[in-house]
Amino acid sequence: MRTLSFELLPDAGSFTPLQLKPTFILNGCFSGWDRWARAHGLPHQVVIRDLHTAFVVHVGQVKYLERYVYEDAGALDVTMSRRIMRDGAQLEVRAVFEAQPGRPVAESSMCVVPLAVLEDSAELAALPAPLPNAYLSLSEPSEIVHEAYPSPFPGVLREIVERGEFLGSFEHPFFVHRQQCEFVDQWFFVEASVFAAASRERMVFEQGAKQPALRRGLSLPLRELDLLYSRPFYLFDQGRARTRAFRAPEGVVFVHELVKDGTPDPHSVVVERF
Amino acid sequence: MVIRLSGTLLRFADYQKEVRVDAPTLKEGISHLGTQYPDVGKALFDKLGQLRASHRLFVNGDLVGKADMGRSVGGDDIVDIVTAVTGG
Repeated sequence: MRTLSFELLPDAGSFTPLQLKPTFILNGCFSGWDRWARAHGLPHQVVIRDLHTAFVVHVGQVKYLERYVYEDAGALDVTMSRRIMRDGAQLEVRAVFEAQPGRPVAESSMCVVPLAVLEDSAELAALPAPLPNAYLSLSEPSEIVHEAYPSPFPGVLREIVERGEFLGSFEHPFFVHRQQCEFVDQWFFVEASVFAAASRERMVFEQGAKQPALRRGLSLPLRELDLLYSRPFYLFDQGRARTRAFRAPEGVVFVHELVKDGTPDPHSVVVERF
Repeated sequence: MVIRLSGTLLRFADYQKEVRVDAPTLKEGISHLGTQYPDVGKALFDKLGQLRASHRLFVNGDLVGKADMGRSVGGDDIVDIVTAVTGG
């Protein structure tokens, strides 16, 4: 399997007082995939233009492996890999962030779904479709596997709700601005993690005095973050984060459903484990 | 009818979220929208004038199939145009 390594230099804005921000890691993974693709002859712009194939992130995951704070910050070595899964219907993109060789501090993976871009579509409208043979032929056999991406959803939700002790709920509104979108608004919405975090923080602010366990959602570092993207948010969309908190055996967990106003089902689900 | 636009279509309609169109049927209303905003028309319809599979139309919250594009609509009806894509 082909990999790519590169250096990232986090700055003060990359950190909370406790750890690297999840957005730094998610963006590092997403942009790292772009680097991987360019390095291995599959630049995304070329794939869109010539193979009429685009990609959308369906699941994102972040795992913090070791304490790593601003005071420690030197250059991070990021190693990217990419596998084609489920016979071309999914891709797995993985990034490992190492503070030193053999000392990974965080890792991120994404399940990416290929899309067939519709002919002459100025807004790059697209529908899910397996990768074309022209793309597959540019991949190594070791990079193509039959199994599906090991998504934590929906099992993670059942596990938390069934095993966890309910601590409280909260709702927090959001509005999607241009700054929060990418090129076509729909490929990768890293801001879902930001909307979820905003709801959690406001919940802690409002309810933390009555339910002290909630404050672990600010006083402890995040251990794991899982994101499920079912439908995209677009510019000017308004919605709310429906947040529930649970005390699970391994710690406090926040489950956020990001719902667009006027629709019943969440477009995204975010699970934060502290 | 009032046609509500969202997502990537907004930039093709000068960022208007809602466009009021007077037409007796859904098909004609969407066609008028495409005339008023040609780039929206290009996004919605293919070369044969058929609604692209990437977009869904809802009238007052109900999904409308291609076969039902000729349905009558009134001035108070709300038409949502939604881009169909999974993920993001």
